[in-house]
Amino acid sequence: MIPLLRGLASALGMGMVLAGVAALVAPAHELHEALDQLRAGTAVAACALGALMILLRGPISRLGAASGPTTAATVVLLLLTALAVSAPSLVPAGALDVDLSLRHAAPSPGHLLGNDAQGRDLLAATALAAPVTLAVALSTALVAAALGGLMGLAGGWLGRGVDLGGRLLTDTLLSAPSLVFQLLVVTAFQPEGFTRLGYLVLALSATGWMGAARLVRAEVQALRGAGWVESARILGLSELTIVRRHVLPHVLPLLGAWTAAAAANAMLAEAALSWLGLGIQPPLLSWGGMVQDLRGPTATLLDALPAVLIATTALSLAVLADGLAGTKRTAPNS
Amino acid sequence: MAGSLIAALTRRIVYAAALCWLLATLLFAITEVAPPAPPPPPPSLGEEPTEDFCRERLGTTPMDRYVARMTTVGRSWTPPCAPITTTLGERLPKSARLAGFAIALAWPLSLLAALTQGAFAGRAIDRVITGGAVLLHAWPVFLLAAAAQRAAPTLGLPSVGSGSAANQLVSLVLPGATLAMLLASAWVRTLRAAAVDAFEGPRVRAARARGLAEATVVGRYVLPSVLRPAITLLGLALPRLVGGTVVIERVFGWSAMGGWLTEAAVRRDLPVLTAITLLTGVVVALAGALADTANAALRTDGGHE
Repeated sequence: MIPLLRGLASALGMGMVLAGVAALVAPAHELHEALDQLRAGTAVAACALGALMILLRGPISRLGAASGPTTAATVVLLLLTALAVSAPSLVPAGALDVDLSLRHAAPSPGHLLGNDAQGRDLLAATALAAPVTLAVALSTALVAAALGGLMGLAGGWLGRGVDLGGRLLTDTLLSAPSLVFQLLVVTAFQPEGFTRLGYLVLALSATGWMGAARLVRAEVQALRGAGWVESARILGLSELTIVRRHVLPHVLPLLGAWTAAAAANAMLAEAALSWLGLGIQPPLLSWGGMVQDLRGPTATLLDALPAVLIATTALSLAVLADGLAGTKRTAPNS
Repeated sequence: MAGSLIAALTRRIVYAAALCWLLATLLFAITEVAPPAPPPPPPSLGEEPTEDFCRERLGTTPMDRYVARMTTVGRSWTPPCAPITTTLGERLPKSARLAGFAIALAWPLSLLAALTQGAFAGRAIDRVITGGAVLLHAWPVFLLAAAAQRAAPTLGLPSVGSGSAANQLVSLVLPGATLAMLLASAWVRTLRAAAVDAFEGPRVRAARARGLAEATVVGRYVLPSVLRPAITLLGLALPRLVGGTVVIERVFGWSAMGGWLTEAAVRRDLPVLTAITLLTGVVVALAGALADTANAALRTDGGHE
């Protein structure tokens, strides 16, 4: 299993780097200003993520081989990542043209999966929505993990006033209907295009970091009283060194598992917002927004493709999260 | 004893009050910082009053507005500017019914599923339930709701909540079941862990070795351990009674708290937002206190430590 995953990560990584370089070097055909920016952005991301995938093929294959479902989830996520960053470079010009005469058209030689409710090529639309959806979900999870991790670490390690303040903030945001704050942040400033993506990530992560804070705080508090921490203090190690060397190795695996689960939740939350028409808006596409097409009476089975992709990605992330949680280190670091 | 109880209760109340104050202040801050909403079109004769008319003169400085916002409930800023308490009286019972039905359905079901999984850990039934829960949890809620809605005509169930009491009860079934599935899929995963821990723990082994009947073992040694997180989860779900469920309400055409909240957020209708958010905050604090009390009672009645 491990060699298989290692080989897959290397192959996909190389493919992504090649696609990225090719997209950066080749002349750009105009899709639309925002989509051209998307293509440029994903080309850079393809190079970066491809290189990362090649460099980290060892850890990826070790984590992924933990169990059968985890392996499947890792494979799915690797493939999705590779497809998402390469797709915008492969979509031909004119693929996203709105042609109302082709609404819900069946598959044809020019449109492999048929057309969606606006007459766009369904395959192209789904492919272009992929990097946006995945980027928002991953960014939200990472920002929320960073925010929550820091809060939990500060509260758990420093205790007393800092802890009380942290707990108050955490509980306040947990009590509020998260949708209110998300909608307020996203709609109040009326951002558009890529700025809107940034606000969306901000809104979703600002209402999603609390779980990480609680998790990290509990773990840090338990570790703070451990015997070897006292010994380290007596030996004269600085607080920062103690945290770095003795606390983080225990906290980071838990946080990693939490991040995977948070990415799944972020994906579903963004899908719900986009489905309400308040999340990612044209010209940028998202899978959640495309699911709106299922509402009409003329919706076909193929229109469910974005929905199936959302569910598959969320499922894979959740399975991965469970797998990562199982690798928590229990023995203290000497 | 009573003194410490009162002290603990007072601490909780002060904490909850601080929480509510922080919530309201955050809301106020966001709406103050955001650029003003675009002005509404001028009204023609006989039309409802505009938003400008709805906004009471709350003072020119932010401090005046802040004080006014914190001390009065007032009217909505959205035409027809109904008093918030009136709209609350119309919409809150609907959300409470929906969420109450869903929780009443999901909670015992999750408990039963978790106990089954704990008793048969590693076997087929355990994997089936886990797989089902993970799958349901990954599937976006608006798709579940849309699928249920499409199934409504074939099952002969009305989906909009209006009309006679019997009709209202039946119309609860679909949206309530959808919400219940959503809640149960999240709860089962947490409760399974607790159940498996309890079944594999030393007390269950000792009890079985003593020759106690399985039902007694489960009732005395497993159930209390699973009830503890179950009650905490129940407490965390109670705010749904007030906050509503936006997507389910929209799909099934219910005009309850969720839809009201979304509209208010988009229109930056601060009085409505403050009122609903504070109400949710109070319910959260109460639910948390109730859950903690129940768990404390469970601990004193529970097994021999």
